[in-house]
Amino acid sequence: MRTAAVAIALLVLAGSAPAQEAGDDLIFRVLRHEITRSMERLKLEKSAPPYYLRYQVRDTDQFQVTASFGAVTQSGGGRRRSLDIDLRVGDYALDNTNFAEGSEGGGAALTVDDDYEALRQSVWLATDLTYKTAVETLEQKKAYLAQHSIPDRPADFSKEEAFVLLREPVKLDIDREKWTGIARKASAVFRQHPHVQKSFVQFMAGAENRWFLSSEGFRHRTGKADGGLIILAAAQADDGMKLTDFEVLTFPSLDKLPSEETVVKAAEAVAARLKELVAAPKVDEEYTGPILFEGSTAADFFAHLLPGQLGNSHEPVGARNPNAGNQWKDKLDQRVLPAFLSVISDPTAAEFKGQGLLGSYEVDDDGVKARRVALVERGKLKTFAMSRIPTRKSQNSNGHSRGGVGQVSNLFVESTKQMNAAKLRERLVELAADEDLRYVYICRRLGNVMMSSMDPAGWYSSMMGRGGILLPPPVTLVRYEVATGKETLVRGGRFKKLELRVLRDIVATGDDAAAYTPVVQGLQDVSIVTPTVLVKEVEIARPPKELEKLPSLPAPAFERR
Amino acid sequence: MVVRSLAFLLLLLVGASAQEPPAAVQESPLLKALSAELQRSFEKLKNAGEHPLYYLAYRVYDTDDVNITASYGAVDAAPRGGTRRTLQVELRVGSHQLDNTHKIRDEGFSFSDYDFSEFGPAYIPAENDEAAIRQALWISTDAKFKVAQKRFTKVKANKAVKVEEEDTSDDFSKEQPVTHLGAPVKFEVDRAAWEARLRKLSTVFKDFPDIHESSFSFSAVRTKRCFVSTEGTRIQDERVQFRLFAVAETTADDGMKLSLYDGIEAASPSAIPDDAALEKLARELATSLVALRSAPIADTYAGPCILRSRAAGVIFHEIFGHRIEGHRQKDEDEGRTFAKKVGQPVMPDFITVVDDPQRESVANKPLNGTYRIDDEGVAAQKVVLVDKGVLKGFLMGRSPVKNFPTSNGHGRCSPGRSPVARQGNLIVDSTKRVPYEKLREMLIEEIKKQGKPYGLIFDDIAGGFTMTQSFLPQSFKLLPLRVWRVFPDGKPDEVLRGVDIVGTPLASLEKILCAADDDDVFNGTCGAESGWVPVSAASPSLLVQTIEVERQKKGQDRPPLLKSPRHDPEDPSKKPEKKEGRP
Repeated sequence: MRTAAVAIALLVLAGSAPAQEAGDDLIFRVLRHEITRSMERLKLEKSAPPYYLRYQVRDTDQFQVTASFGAVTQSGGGRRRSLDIDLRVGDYALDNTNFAEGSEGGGAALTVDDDYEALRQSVWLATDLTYKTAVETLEQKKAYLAQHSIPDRPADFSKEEAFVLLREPVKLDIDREKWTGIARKASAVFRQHPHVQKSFVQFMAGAENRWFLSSEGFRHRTGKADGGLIILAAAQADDGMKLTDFEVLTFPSLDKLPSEETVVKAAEAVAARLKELVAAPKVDEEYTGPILFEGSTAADFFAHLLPGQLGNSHEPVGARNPNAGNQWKDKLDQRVLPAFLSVISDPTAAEFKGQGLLGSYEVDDDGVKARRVALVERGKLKTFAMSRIPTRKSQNSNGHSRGGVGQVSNLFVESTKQMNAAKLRERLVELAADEDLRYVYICRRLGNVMMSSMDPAGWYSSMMGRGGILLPPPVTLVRYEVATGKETLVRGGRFKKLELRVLRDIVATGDDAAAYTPVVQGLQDVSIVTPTVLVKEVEIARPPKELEKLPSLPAPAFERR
Repeated sequence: MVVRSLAFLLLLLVGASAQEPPAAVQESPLLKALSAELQRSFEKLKNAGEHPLYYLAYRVYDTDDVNITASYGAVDAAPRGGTRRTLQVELRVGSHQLDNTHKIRDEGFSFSDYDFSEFGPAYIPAENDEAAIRQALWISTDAKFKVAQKRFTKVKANKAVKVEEEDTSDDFSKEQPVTHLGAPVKFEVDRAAWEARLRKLSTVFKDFPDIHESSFSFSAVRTKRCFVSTEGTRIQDERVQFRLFAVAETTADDGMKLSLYDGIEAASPSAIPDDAALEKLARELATSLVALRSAPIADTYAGPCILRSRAAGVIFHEIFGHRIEGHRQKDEDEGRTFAKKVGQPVMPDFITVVDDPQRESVANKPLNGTYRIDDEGVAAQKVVLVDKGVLKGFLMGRSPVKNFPTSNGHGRCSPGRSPVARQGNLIVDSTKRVPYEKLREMLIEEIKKQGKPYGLIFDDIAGGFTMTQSFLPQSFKLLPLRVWRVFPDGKPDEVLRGVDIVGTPLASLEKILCAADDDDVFNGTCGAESGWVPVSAASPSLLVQTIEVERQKKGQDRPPLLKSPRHDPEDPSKKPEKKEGRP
C-alpha cells in the first residue's frame, strides 16, 4: 500500500490563499470553499474574521471482535467521519487559545458519503459555532489579561513553514471471517485450564485517513492502517487472591499480521504463566531495594515517568495550578537523568531492529513536518516535544503536536553504560550487599489498565491515592536469592508511589535495547525503545490482607472431574 | 399504480413478519444452557451462604439492529454491527418478606460492596456455545451471590436501627410460573435500500434555507428474550420494532433554538407509511418549523386550553402514568403523590384510565406498548387505574405495596437492566364527549368566562420529563412542539413559540372539563431507571380549565452569520476557481 503511495512534498508560501492544486479531491474542495468564504466574510459586526482557520477530517474504519472461552462475545466496528476545527481570532501574539477558562476548537460528525452539499452544510454550521465561541473566548481572555500581569507572556501561535504531503488513502483490508475464527480458537485455549475464571481475546484493526487544510496553505492527506490483539485471563489463587495476566500484540501495519499459530501460542503462554502464578508464594514482607526492570517493564517504567515531563510544557493563561502537569517545565539544561542516558523522540522512525513502531507519523496534528528531536542529552533536559504553542524558551514547533499540544512520539532511551545480562546481575548483587539484603527483585512483566476489565475492584483499589507516580502492580515479579542465585516467582506485590527522582537512581542498563508498546492511560500510541534498566531503590508493598473467597461452585466445565 | 408498486417495494425492504405459524417451537440452545446452569447453581448455592438463596433468574436479550440517519442527502455512518447479547442475573437471598434488594435507608457508596459484575465488556458469548455461556453464567452468578450475601446482612442491620417503614410490604411477590415459547420472527432489513430511501427523504430539508440541522432516521430492532427462573418460569420470545423519525432545527433571530420532530413507531413493517407519506411528513415538519421561527414568543399564562389527543396522551403518561408506578409508592425518597389516594377521586368522574398491554390498537391505530409477558415473567394484565375519576390501583411489578401484594404484569426493562413497574398502553377514556368542533367552541366560551385574552391549543408534544423524587418539586415540564393561541373574538389562531408547561400534576388533572371524540395514539419509547421500553398513550382531546405555561429559556446565540452554502449566491463553489500557477 505504502509503495503505491504517491508522495508530493512541496513548500508553499505561508499566508497564501488556498487554491485548486494537485491532489485535489472532494474533501479538500469542501474544506477549501468553506475556508475561503469564512476568511473573507465570517464576522460579527464588532469583531474581525478569523486570522487562522484549520480543518482536519478523520475518516476511520474499524473492526473488532472479542471471543471468550471459544465463542464470540461481541464484534462490530464501522466507518465514520469527523471534523475538527481550529479557528483563531486575534493574531499570532494574542488569540482565543491557550486560555484555561475558555473553550477551544470545535467539530462535528460528518457524513461518510462523498456528498459535497451535505459535507458543506455540516462544516458551515460547525464553523459558525466555533467562530462565535472563539470571539467570546478572546474577549474573556483580554478581560483576564487586563486584570492579571503575566511577564514575558509567550505568543499564542508560532509561525511555521507550510508543509504539503499527499498520500493515497488507505483501506481497511482485513479478513474478518479469518480473524473471528482466530479469536474464537485462541480464546478456546482457556477451556483446557480449570484455574482460569475469566478470559478473552480481542482483535482490533483500523484504517484512518486524514485530510488537513489550513488558511496558511498547510495541506496534507495521510492514511494509516494498524491494529492489535489483546489476550487477557484471570484466575484466583487458593487463598482468594485474584491474578490477571495478558499479552498485547501490536501491528503497526496490517501487511504483517501474525499467524493463527502465533496467536494461539500466545494464549497458551498466558494460560501457562497464570497457572504458575496461582501456585506461586505471595510477597510476604515489605521491600526497599534495587529492582531490575527487564525488557518490556523498562519501557513501562519510562512510559509512566517520562512522557508527562517531556511534552505539554506550555502554561495556559489563567491556569489555576501552574505547577500541575509537566514537572520539568522549568528544568531546561538541568540534569534530570543519569549522565549515561539520553532520550530521543522520533516520529520519523518506522522500525527498530526490524520491529515496526506504533508512534510513527510523517506530519503532526498541526500540519508540521515530523522531526527527530533529542530531548535529553547525557542526562540533561535540552528541549520539549513542541507543538505550535510557543513557550518562553521555545518559540517554534518541532513537529510533535498531538491534538495541538506537544507530546512525545516514539521514545528512544539510549545508554552509554550498557552491560550484558551477567554483568548486570553482578551489579544487582553488589547493590544487595550494600543494603545487606537477602534477596532482590526482578520485574519481568508489569500490569496495565486493561486488567481492570478482569478485576475492576482489585485494579481500582491498587491504583487509588493522590500524588506521586504509581506503577501498575507487577504481573511477573521474581525474587532472586543473593546467596544461592535461586529465582522464585512471587505474586501479589505492589509498587509504592514513586517520585520523578527515581530516574536518577538508574544505576546501569542492559545491552538489550528493543522496541515495546506500553499501554498507559493518557498516553497516545507510541513505542518505546529501551534496554533493561537497573534501579537502585524502589519500594514494594505486600498485597492487601482482605481477599475475596473462591467461587462457591467449581467451573461448570470441570465439575465432573 | 404508483402507490401499489411503492407498497410492493416496502414489503421487499422490510421482510419482517410476526405472522409465523406457531408450529412446534423448539427450546433454543441458549435456553437449555441457561436452564442447566440455573439448576446447578440453585441446588448448590441454596444453602451455601449465611443467608439462603431463594430466587435466581437469568434474563438474556439478543439485540440485532439497523440504525441509519441521513442528513441533507447523505448518511451519517456505516456501522458494522453484530448481535449484542446482554445478561442480567437476578439473585435474591433471604425470603420474599425481606431480601437483599430491600432499600437501605441513608445508604452511602461503599467501594467494597459495589456490584462490579455489571461493569466491563459484555462477557456472555453472543454465540450459542453451551460451555462458554455456562462459564460466563457461573462467574456472574458467583459475583452476585457474594454481593447479595453482604448486602442482606446490611439490610438486616439497617432495619434494626431505623424506625419502621411506612409501608411494610414484602420485597418480592409470589407469582405463578409461566412457560412461553414464542414463534421466531423474521427480521430481514435491507440496509442499502433503506439508506437510499433516507438519503432521498432527507433532501426535503434542502429546500428550506432557514433550517440548519436536519435529519431523517430509521431504526429497526429485533429483541430476542430468554428468561429462566428457579420458580419454573421459562420464556423464549422475540419482538421487532421499527421507528422512523425526522428532526429539524433552527435558531430564531432572537437566539431561541427551535426544533420540531415527527415520527412513526411501528411494531410491524406493514405499519410503515410509503415514501410519499414520509416525504409529506418531512415537508410539513419543515414548513411548521419555518412558521415557528417567526411566530410570536409565549408569555407567562394561566388559563383554559385544549390538549389535542396525542398531546393529552403524553401529558397523562408523564404526569399521571409515572406516578402510578407501584414501586414508587413505598420508596420513601419518592413523592408518593398517589400512595394514600386509593379509593378517592383524583380526577373528574367522567374520566377512566387503564393500562392495557394486551390491547393492540385504539381507534384503529396500532399500539406500541403491547406485550404478552413482562420482563419478570408475569403475564400482562389490563389494570384499571382510575375508574370514573376514582383511583383504583397501580402499575405493579413484583415489588408489592400496601394492599397490592401481587404483580399485574408491568415489570419491564431494557436489556441488561433490572425491571420495575412501567407503563405499557396507557388509555384515557371519557364518558363526557363532544365532537372536536364543539370542544373548540367550549374553549372559547371558557376563555370569555374566565375573562382571558386568549386560550391555548397544544397540538403536539415532544415528550417531557417528570420529576417523581421527593427532593425535587413535584412538578412536570413538557416541551410542546406546536402551541396555538386562540382568540375569543374570532381572530385567526396564531402559532406560538417557546412555550413550557409548568405546574403540579394533581392540580392539572382535576381541571379537565370535557373530552372530544377524536381518540388518537402517541407511540413512543419511555426512559426510566429500568431503561427504555416501548409505550403508547391514547386519549381523546381534552378541554382543561387551567394550565400554566411559561416562556422557554432561550439561547443567546445568533443564527449562523453566513448563509447555507447551497443558498449563498457568493459561495466560492459557484465561481470559477483560479488554478494554481505552479507547473
